[in-house]
Amino acid sequence: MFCLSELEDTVRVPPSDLNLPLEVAIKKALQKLFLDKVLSIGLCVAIYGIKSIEGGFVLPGDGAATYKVVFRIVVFRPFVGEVIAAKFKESDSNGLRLTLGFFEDVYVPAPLIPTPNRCEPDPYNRNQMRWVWKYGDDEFIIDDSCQQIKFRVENISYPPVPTERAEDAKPFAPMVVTGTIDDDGLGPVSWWEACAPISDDED
Amino acid sequence: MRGALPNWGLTKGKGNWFHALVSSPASRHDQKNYIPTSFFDHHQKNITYLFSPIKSHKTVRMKANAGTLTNFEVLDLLNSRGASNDTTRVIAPISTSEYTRLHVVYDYLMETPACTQTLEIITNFSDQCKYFKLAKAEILNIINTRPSSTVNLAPILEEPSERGIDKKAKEGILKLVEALLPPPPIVEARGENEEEETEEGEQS
Repeated sequence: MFCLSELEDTVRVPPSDLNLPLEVAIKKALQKLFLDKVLSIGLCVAIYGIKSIEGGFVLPGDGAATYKVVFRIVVFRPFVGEVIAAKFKESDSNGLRLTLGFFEDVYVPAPLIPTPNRCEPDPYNRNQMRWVWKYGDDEFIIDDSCQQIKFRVENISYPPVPTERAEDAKPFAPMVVTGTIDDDGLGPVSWWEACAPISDDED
Repeated sequence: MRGALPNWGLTKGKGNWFHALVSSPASRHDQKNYIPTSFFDHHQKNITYLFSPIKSHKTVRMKANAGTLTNFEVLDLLNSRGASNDTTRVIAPISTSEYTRLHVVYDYLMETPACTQTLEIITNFSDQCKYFKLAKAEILNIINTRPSSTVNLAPILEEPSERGIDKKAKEGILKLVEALLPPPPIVEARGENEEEETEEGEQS
């Protein structure tokens, strides 16, 4: 789910950092710029290393040195078809929301929850809805008690920054991963712990 | 409905990604002459000029995919940055934001099978996998999730019947997983023990 990406960028090292060794100062500036930010390639997690540094010119009117740096970063970018284990975060009538700790915008929309299912108001938490999967005679609940929920990535989207938003809208998510739990082996891990294949010919 | 698996291409040349990792120890991740740990060989021509969403920048030239990393490789990188050492949580030589982010990712990865893997294990495993003619993305999935039964393996394999992967082949893959990849840590119930788990007990 992580990739290395190579970038080239112009980095400005503020004058207060100029007493540090060059690589340390540039790394500090890079971290401030890229860490925790979502680029078009994904969520930047860590700076992997610096490949080359050029320049070091001081532009007129500015006390900072500007460098052209080629470096590599580790980005979180799952590929379509990847199976990832996540934790339950919340659910509403549109579907589930899962979290990976460092990334919290994984959504499983209602059509990708195994059918037949139903959504009922959560008896323990008044604001939330709870999804229940009905299979044969058994009912399986998806809620906070599931330790790990496996999902498969269907799509990654980067919604554009909204210009206007309603007052109580959710905080803007620059990167949204859509997942499915509608397949063998997906969904809460506890569902599949003690099970045997139904038939011998698998598709 | 599944999207097509990306076209990963073949690994070119003798420069196996794991040889690159083996030749330089984890503590030297920052060296400039470090060869990329490309799990999948990248296409050199993929340089795109894009507008970065960061306000102060106009253009950032980039190569989007310089190599895919398994969870283990990222965990190894974080370990080399000192993420595992608990004392650094108090005395942080690095900035707060990188610190928090690294630790959050670290905590997540420690709960996946990656925390019990080593470089030799995953090299060995992916070498053995070629008997089953699996796509590289599937090998990556298997290394990251370590399926322990057919049902866990099912969402990873794409169109197994059309590719001639029958029940016997699936059992073969599972046996390989069982033999080569160590079992994942036991995830405690949330709210209880949050420290790293040592490997206790086998997978049943």
